[in-house]
Amino acid sequence: MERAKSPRSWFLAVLVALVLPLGAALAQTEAPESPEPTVAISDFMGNWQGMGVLETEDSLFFAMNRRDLDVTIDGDDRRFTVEWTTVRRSGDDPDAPEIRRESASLTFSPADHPHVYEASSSESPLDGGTMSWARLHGQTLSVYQMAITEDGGYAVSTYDRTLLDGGDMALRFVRLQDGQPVREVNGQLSRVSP
Amino acid sequence: MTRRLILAVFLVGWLPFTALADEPIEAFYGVYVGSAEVFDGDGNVVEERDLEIEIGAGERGAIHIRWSNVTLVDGRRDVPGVEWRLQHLSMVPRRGDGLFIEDTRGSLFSGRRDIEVMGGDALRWGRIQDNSLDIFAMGVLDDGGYVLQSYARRLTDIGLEIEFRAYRNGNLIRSILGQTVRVDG
Repeated sequence: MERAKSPRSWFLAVLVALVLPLGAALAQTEAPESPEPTVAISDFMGNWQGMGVLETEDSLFFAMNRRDLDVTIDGDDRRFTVEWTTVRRSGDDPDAPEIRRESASLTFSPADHPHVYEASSSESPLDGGTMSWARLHGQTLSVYQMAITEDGGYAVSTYDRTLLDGGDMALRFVRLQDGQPVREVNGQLSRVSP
Repeated sequence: MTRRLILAVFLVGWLPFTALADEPIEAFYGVYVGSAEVFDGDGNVVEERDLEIEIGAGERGAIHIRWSNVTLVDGRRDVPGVEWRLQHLSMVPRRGDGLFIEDTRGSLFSGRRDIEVMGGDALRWGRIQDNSLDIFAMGVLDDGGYVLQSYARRLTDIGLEIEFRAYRNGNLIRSILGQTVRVDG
């Protein structure tokens, strides 16, 4: 494999070299291909509110592990904004918790491939920034944020927002650091306004 | 006696810090040969490989890593079906923080090319942590999912220990574990 190839073809060639030759054996273990989206960005529009739980062994017993969730998705297929707020309780006293409110907003436009979107504020991790993008697959809108950590490793945060058959939205947030999950929150939200 | 105790405590307390000092990049320079096993995401061995790795100084302050794999057939490399792959990568130090990033300069007179990850480019960087030279690569797939690879090459008394992991959308899809010995290049 010579360096004269473009970086895109180099990466794909490496990926193919690493992943594809294993054939049937790998086909059984590789993460399944992403299904084509059965929903559109417009189906996610509106303000959603609900609750999430930080996944730990004793999640159900501690109010500190609960999060109030709020997300607003606005725009259309060509440009949309996802704005979310998480309210969490911390501190040593469950009766008088410290309330922490964290908000973020990302605006996405279509990238080169169908159902893939790039955030306007996305920055190169090689320059110390956070790269943000999104994709539609199945009934899920996934938002990803990736950065290089201070120790030179990496962290990827994934927000999977899945439209449920009953009309609610399921949220699964996972933060991976150097391949290992360091935080996971699962929740459910209802649309409170279109 | 008290002084000895203080000295002992000092030395014991100091040892972890000296052990954690990052190796200089020059400590990795050399030629290595060895073998590795390839595992699928469930931890099953799916391949055996012979490895060759060469790490050295590249042009204009870069480090150059060249590695080749021979995929064996039933443990042999002299029968049909054996595959050989050669890859190489140049990295340059990023200013101030000890990170290495891929050298995208095409020639002495051309500037650094911007990496377009959403356009299909791979993001590559590296670090030295303790005795390990770690190279990372990340790419966004056509369907918007992502692949992240980490390739650790750890110094041992005789060579390099190899640990490769590839994740797709956070799921481990492949790992490679191997041992190499340093040889005269």
